[in-house]
Amino acid sequence: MNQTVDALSQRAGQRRFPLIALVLLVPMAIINLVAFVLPVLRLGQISFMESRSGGVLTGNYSTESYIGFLTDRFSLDLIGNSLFLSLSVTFITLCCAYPIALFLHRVSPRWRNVLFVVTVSPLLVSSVVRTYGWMVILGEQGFVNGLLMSSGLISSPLRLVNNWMGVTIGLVEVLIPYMALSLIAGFGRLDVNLEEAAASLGANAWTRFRRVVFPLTLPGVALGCLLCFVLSISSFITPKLLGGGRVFLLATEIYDQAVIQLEWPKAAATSVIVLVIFGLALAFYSRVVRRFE
Amino acid sequence: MKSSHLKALATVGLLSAITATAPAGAAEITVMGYRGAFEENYVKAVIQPFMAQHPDIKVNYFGVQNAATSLGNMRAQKDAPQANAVIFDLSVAKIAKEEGLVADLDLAKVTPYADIADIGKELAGAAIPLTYDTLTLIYNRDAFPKPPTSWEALWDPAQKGKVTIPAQGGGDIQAILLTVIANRLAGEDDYKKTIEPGVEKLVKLAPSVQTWEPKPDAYTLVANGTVNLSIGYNARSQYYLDQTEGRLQSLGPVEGTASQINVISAIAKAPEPEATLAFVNYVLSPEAQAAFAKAMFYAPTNTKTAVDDATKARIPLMDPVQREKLIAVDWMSIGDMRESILQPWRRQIIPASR
Repeated sequence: MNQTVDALSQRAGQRRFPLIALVLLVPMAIINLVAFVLPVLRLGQISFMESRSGGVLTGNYSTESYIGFLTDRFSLDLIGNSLFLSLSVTFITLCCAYPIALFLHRVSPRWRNVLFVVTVSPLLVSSVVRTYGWMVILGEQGFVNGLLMSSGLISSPLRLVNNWMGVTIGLVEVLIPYMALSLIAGFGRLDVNLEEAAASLGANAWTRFRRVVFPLTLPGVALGCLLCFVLSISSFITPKLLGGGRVFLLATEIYDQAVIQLEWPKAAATSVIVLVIFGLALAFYSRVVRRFE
Repeated sequence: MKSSHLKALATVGLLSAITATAPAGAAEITVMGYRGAFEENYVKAVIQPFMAQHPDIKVNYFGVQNAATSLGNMRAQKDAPQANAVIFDLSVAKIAKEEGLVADLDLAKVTPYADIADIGKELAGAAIPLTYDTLTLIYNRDAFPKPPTSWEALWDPAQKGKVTIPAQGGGDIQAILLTVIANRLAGEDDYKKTIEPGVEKLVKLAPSVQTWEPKPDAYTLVANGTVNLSIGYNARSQYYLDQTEGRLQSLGPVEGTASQINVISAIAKAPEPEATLAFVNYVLSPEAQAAFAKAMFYAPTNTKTAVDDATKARIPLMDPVQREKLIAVDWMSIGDMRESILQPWRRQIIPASR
């Protein structure tokens, strides 16, 4: 009898829990509605506005901004450029951040906190300031070119900035802390005992990494890659400052369309297309994560 | 009893304080315009003297990044404008007029209008020319023992990698003006007929360009020697010339140059139309035009403006020879041509610099 009562009260508790959860979610839902959902809906509305040449809004609605974007070779190049840059930056960032994260995971707890702070400390400085720093370091009269020229390795300065190279270097540096944090967060399943077991069975260091360590860290890798991909495809300041006007991407195009060309519907349509790419990336991530589970 | 006395006294004090700061019939208006050096000089040279002459009108200046930001604010506040007047570029004013964002002032009430020069009067009372500026060649003094005189200096092979062009993907007004000028250098005077010769000429310039988006701006990169040559607006060039003690120099090239026009518009549906009109009349007066020309080297639009010789010497448009050679740009048609100018910049000119 008592067991039945307990079971019933437990079920009642389970039924009450979602209500409490819903109440607790209300403030965040309101903030999201006002700060995200409504602006996105407004963005969608603007993307269907009709504009005449020069950017004049006619007050009518049409799908011309989407048709114009999807039938223009230059726009499709923009998608290709953005995907290429985001994927290459994500890969390079992963290669740079993985050893750091692995080291931080294995180092003694006494040092871990200090080194952890050192790893994320670049986030304390604005990415604009760091990007301006790269402009100074990579410029023709900058530190790197100065060093190479004074050592006699090159006779004229290398073009390290105002191009794809500069944007890639800048973005990788900006994203390394994010990747490292994500990797560390996803290293929970990595157990040193498993590596020792593999070693006892004769696996060398490379085999241990390939067959044991890396597969166990894949959830962290997936999380870090998703975060870096989304941050790099939407990055605007670094490509704008380090691209020298030569690197055409979706984010810089949205700015140019809205602020320089005054074509708000085109800018809004491009933004919606970027949102769709984000959605596809998230869907792909969900599938990948499900496979790990 | 004591408490009610205190309350009464406080109320009287508050009311007298309000009436002391805001005389009967007082108005407060907001003018939206460019921020930075423009704002600083405009407030000192024009707005403060206006308020001294019109103690019943308080003018607030709201600085924005560029004309497009002003247009954005006006679109967002279409039904309840927060500003009464706006200073922006003529090409953007055309869009604002077509969208019904600016009021069409009765020209009979704009007393200085008859004295305003003819350039940029196409929108009549909806956008009245306030300042004229010109595109100039800017260069680093130390890189040129013999100063350049022609736009062709940009194409000099010796300057390869030492040129910057603020193009913003080809959409910037300076890029549009340079296209018109390059077209003329290539032998085609009528840019409405074709811009192909100009595009071909700019494609040849591309390999010399270090950056198409100079940061923080072209003036700084020229002044600090990162590049030797660029294009810029005369007014800002003169400002930087003073700031850099002459390291940055500017000139109106022998082939002539083209002008950029800032206009002032009253914003549609904004309150205080009388105070706004009084302000518009003042800023177009010879007195205000002379003060701002002296402060920032914009050419005045009021033909009755008396400008001292030292100031005149630093404004190419006030030089009769340069004025004669001014390359006419029809800003009313540029909007329709924008797409045809943008495309070659993105597909031919900028890619040629990779």
